[in-house]
Amino acid sequence: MAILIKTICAGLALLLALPFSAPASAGENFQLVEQEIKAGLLYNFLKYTQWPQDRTNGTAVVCLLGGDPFDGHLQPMAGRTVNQHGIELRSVHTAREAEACSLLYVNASEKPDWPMLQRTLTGKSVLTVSDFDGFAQSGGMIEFTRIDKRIGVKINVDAVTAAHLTVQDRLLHLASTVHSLRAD
Amino acid sequence: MRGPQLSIRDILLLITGTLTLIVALLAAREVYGNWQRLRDIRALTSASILSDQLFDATEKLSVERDIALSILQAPDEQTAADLRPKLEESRRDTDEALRAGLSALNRYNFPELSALRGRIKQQLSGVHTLRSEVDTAAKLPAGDKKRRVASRWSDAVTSLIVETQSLWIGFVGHFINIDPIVTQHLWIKHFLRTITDYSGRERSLIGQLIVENTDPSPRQISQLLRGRGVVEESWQMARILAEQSGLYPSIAPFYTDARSHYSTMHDMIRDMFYVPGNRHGSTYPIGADLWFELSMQASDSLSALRIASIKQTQKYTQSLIDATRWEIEVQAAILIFALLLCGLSFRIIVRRVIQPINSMVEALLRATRGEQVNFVPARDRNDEIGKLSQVLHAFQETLVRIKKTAADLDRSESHLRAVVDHMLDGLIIIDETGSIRSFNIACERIFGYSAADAIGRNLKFLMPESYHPEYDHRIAKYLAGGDEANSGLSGVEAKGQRKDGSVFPMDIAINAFSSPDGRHFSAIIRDITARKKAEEEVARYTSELERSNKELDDFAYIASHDLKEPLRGIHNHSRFLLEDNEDTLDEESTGRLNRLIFLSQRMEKLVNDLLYFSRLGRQELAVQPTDVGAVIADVAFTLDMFLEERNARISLADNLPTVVCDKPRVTELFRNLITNAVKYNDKPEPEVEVGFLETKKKPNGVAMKRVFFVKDNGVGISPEFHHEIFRIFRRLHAGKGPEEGTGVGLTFVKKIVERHGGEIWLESELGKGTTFYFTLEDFGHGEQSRAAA
Repeated sequence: MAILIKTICAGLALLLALPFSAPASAGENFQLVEQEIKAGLLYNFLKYTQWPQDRTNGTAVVCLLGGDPFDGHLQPMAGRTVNQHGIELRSVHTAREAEACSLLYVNASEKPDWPMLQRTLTGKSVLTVSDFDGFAQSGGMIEFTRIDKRIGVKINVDAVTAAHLTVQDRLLHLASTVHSLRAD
Repeated sequence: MRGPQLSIRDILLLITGTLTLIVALLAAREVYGNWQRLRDIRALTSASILSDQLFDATEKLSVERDIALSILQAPDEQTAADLRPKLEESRRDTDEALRAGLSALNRYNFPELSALRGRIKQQLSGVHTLRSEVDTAAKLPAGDKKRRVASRWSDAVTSLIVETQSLWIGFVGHFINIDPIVTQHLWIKHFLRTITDYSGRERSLIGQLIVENTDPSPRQISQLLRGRGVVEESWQMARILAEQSGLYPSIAPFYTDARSHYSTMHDMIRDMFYVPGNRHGSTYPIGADLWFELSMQASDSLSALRIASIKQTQKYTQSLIDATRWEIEVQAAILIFALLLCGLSFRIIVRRVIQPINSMVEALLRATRGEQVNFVPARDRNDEIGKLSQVLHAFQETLVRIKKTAADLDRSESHLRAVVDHMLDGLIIIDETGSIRSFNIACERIFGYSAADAIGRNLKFLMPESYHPEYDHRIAKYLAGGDEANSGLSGVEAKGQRKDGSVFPMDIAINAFSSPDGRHFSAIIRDITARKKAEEEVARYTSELERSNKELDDFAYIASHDLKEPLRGIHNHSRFLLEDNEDTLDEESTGRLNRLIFLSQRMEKLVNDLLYFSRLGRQELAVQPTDVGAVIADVAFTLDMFLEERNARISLADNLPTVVCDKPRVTELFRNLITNAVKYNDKPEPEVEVGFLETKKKPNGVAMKRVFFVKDNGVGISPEFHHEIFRIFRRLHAGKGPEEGTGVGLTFVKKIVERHGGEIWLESELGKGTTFYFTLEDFGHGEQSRAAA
């Protein structure tokens, strides 16, 4: 019972502490919120994607290529688990490094190098995610989009399948709102 | 007041039976307790599943509620259309979860929940009705009606959720005390449900904000923050309880997954909804459909955690069931074993204690009844029973000996009794006061009284009153002591009186003896009436005989004495005639006169012998100690001429004794026998042996003491004459001259022997010789010492 009371007290302390986070400037905040949502979605991608048995090794390696577009908001994910795998964050710079990743987030700044990178990763079980236009169409697997200022998700199922990955229906539900867009 | 008498066997039976019953009851109670526990745990297992189903149902209901509300509040067609498939899916989930939960609940018959269940069913049908209203209202443009429907819908579903939660709490309450671990598991579920609940509220609120595209009000933010705190706290509580109950290690991956998922989702929206004024360009960067999807996906993680914990709870309860079952089996085994042990101990008690005691008691009872007992002692046992049985065995052996002794005594007593009963003499036992104690059959016959009449009375009542003074005098003298007291009073003639009053002579012998009861006297009584009569008879006959003999002797004496005178005259006259007329008488007359003289001389001799014989019977014996050897020597001396003439020889034994006898008669006796022995002897050298034997058997087998004998080697006597020869004037060998015997010698011998009280007999063999045996002393009347034979 003592533990229960302690825990309740801790909860109350948390309750009181939160409202005092300093508000950021409006523009920055919007960008920030958008990146936060994307970062959160990465978790769901990891959750509903199945890698081949030999790739898992008990760790879900999330790699950022070309800098961190999430401005450190991805950081809390390190140490969490998904499907009973620990999540590891890495910054990668080369295609070779990227091969070892479970999920590779390609920064929009890497768009020019993408075709080459894509070729390198062909056949490798790396779930590729990015937010630049045409990523999915150019062989990327999951692409964040914006429709009416709202974040959407495109999935290139062919690319996913080609990489010996399996995505579950639940993931397709996430992408269902942009399914029609994916057709072209 | 005394209860029923219980034997040792009954008591032991009672004790073992009671112990068995107690053991059985205790074990049965344990078994029953465990069986009930088993039932409770099974109920708990299904209750746990059911509680999860109810929990799931509330979750599904809240999702449906939120999506439906979002559709009703959607600002544009597109948003509503996007949410439509989610609503359909959610409705299916809700129906399924509620149906499963309610049907599972039907198995439990908790009265206080049945009303609640009824209400839930009612509200569920209300929700079903509202669903179509929601669908209709969704197509309407935004307005009051739409808001009213939304409001009713929200209220109805929330109410249903609350009722379902109440149901869950009420239900779980029944099982909260069965097992602490399972209770902790239920608490973990409770916290997970709280997380779901508050996440649902957050989802609902944020969904509403997204749909309405409005900034959260301070109240809403405060609501969100509070929910956040509760959720965070619930995560921690769930983990602590899981760790305490040992559940955590097995659910940890699911716990971290779910918690990661929720944290990630919270990170996603934290800056957007928990901070006022972050909605830029009048639009949230996330659509309601995506939001609901993300929320539902997060609840997937929670579901996985819940399922994992359900599985662990089931595993745990299963282990409880297995353990309890094992306990029941062990207890049942212990119960059976205890019963067997009780049975065994009872059997041992029966065999080792009760049966030996029974057989001992039986043996004792039989011994008491005097039956044959053959008790075998338990020699192999050293305990109380063994000792008891050995004691009993010793007792039995003693008893056997006692019985044998008693039987011997009995036999000897009955023997004695028979002797006493059948003895011809009367036997009376009297005590010191003279009171009769015992009176045998002979007494009854003698006196005519029965033993019953006689016992207890004074001995004197058996005697005529006139005799009493004499009896008293005798007894007093007897008791006064002296030799008589020691040797008893025997052979006293007394007078008895029969019951009929007749008096009779009796011989009484009294002897004193000591018995444990004191000094007693035995009186042996013999009716001597017959003996007296016989004695009188004998006396009469004897005197008659004596008179007759005397008359005969007198007659013989008178006759012989008187005959002598005429004989003398005949003899003298014949001689005178012969002498005076010697010349004148012719030869024939002379011969006749000589013959007459000879005959008269012989006649005189006969008369003299007869006279002598009669004198032998009449004269008293002049007894004196006499040396028999000297007597014979005297005889031999007087017969010297005669013996020499015949060339005869006499041999004497050395052991000839001195006897008290009439010497002249005994001399006569020996002279006759020796003369006969020589005279009737055809041997050239007649031999006569005189001897003495201490004992000698008569031809009829009777042994005689102190026997004299005279043995010759003469012609012998034929057996038919062995008696004849003792008769007076009886001669076996006729003589020719006047010197020849008259045949009275042996008659004299026999008479002399008889006068001395002795006996005479002979042994003879024709041609070889004769031996005369005789005794000169009277050793009692009749034949001597018949017993010695």
